[in-house]
Amino acid sequence: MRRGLGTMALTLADLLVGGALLVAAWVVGEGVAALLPWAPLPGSLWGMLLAFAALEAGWLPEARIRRAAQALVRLLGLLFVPVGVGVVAYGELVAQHAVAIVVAIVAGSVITLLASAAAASATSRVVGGGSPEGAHEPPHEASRS
Amino acid sequence: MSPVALLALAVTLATYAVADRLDARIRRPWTNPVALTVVALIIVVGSGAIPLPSYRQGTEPLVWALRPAVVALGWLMHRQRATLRRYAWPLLAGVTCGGAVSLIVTPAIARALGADPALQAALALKSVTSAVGVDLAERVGADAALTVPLVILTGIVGAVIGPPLLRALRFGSKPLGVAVGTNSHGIGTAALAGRESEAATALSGLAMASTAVVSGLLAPLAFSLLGLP
Repeated sequence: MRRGLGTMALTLADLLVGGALLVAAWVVGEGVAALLPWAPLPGSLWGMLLAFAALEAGWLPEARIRRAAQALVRLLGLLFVPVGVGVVAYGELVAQHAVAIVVAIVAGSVITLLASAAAASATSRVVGGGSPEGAHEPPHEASRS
Repeated sequence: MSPVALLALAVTLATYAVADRLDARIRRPWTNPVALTVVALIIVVGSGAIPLPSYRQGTEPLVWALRPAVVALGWLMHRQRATLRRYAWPLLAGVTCGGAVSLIVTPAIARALGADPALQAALALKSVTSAVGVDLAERVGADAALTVPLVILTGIVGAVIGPPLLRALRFGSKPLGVAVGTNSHGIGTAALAGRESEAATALSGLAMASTAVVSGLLAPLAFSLLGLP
């Protein structure tokens, strides 16, 4: 029982330390975004690239942030929900041009998705992108636990 | 926090939990928990059952946690570094092609439907993640307030139709990740997390960042080609 509690405390400490490091990377990212106003990236995406670079360079030990990062990536969908619901604030604006907006976004998305996937797929066939694409690929593993 | 705000948070968590369970149980293209929860909550908030200001107040902790969660995608990229290295050129090609096509084709469709230039300009930025989209809109002379909902809708639409469409056309999970991140930025990436391979999610996150950069570079050119403000 005591051992169980100890493990729980360690896990919690791990999550807090990892979470704090990820927040720190975001804050640094906001700083970079403020310093480079002409560069088209927001602070959180700078933070993402900085965290990647720091992990690659070995400045940020992967084990330190593993638990927190894993938990946050798993929650990413939930965390994006309020952003999506925010569209309600623009209800009237969208309703005024509903047809043009819906058709342009749906058709535009289909064409963008196809262009992007086809270009990536064709390029990987030319330069080699690892495992062959499409039908030969094994079914995608679910990383849900 | 007001009781209604707390209720808003509770309803969001409960709806997501139910949607996630449903998805784990039957796993269909339409059971994407992000899309299901967003649509359900748009109905709840849009009908006025929970006022938008209360909803915003209640879900503030989620919005706050979103930033470190986006940073955590950098960790996923690190774990998938072998894939990213092998797939760097295809990623660049997918992002550049998809980004350019989106900038040109989306406003062209709107123009064909008789939309005014302001709406065409805002639609051109549909695939640029919202923080960058707002910034870019101001720089190229589009309406930032109009750009935001279009970016969000594009996120939801791509998250719903992207994976089933690309799977039906027999694209593998890597081009799928690139395409969904390119078209549908963060919302699309979130929809892949836990449903598609880790490589697809990491590629989608990197594609979202790359699309913001590529669109920032190409938007002025696209706008002058289309004769937009």
